[in-house]
Amino acid sequence: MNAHHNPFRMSRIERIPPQLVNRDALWQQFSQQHGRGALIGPHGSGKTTLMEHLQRDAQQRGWLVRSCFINDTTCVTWSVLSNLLIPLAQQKSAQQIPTQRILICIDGAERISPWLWWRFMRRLPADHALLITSHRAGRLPTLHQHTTSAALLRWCVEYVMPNSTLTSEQAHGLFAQYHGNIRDCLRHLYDSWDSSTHRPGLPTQTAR
Amino acid sequence: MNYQLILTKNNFRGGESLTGTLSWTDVLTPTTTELRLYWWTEGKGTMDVGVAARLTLECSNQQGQQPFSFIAPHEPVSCSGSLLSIRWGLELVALPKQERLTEANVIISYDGEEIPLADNNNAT
Repeated sequence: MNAHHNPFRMSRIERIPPQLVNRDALWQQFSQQHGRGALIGPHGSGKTTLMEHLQRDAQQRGWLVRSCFINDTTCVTWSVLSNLLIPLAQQKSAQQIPTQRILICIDGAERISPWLWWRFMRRLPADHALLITSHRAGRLPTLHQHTTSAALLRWCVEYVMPNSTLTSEQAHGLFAQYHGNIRDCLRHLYDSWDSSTHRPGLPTQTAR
Repeated sequence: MNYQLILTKNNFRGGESLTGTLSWTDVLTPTTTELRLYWWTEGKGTMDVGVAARLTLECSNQQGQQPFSFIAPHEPVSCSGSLLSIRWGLELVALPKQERLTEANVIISYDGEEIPLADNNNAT
């Protein structure tokens, strides 16, 4: 089985659009929150996916987007965060983008220490918009609260593999096995994809 | 507007000339395009991408064609297994908006064939 034939390969998973999210309404809310917003939710609930869609929206609107991805292997130092600001300041001083709006995106902001966060927010120019993802609310006004369900898992599977044979019961089993983490459920389906039958494999065990 | 990449062949050895022709029709305004020879990964993990070479091609008439030529890089080679595939392709984008106009897949390896990767689960 070639990886590029697997329907659950990452390049397809990343194309799943955020379901039931009105992005125009989110942009309106983001504006009302003075360009500050947090996408809140548990692991594998689509925060990064939604952020990537919002980044593309912003670029299409002519914004300059700077982004930073923080995970458990990233050492978050001041230089990581200040890099989001310094090049922008240089570009602005050179008047290369005198009127362009700037959006800074930080994926995984809950991993930034309170001290670094405070320092970053003090340095952040007021006219820069800031969008973060986090598992916990509190650092910025919540823009969207993500939730997951077995029905959402089935919808995602149907999106990458129309006419999927994954039943509701199987979806519930997977959803429970991976504690609601849709990304991990889709990884399971990647591993268990049976190219001979063109069906996703069943959960190996369920924790229902 | 319609753009087409016509390659002399699709399988190449590293160091070999990768040649073809870009043809276009119904291009109403002169367009500057960039042709990129690039590789990308597909599989369970996050996609990686690298651009090996690029050419700027001007489409100044409503229709026309222009030959292009790259030297096929020696690495990374086209390969595929259950966890990862490395693939090569050409993409034509309009500048400066980076709008993708057309694309074509190619295979680049030691012998011009995609290299199968062993599946650890089946290895003895």
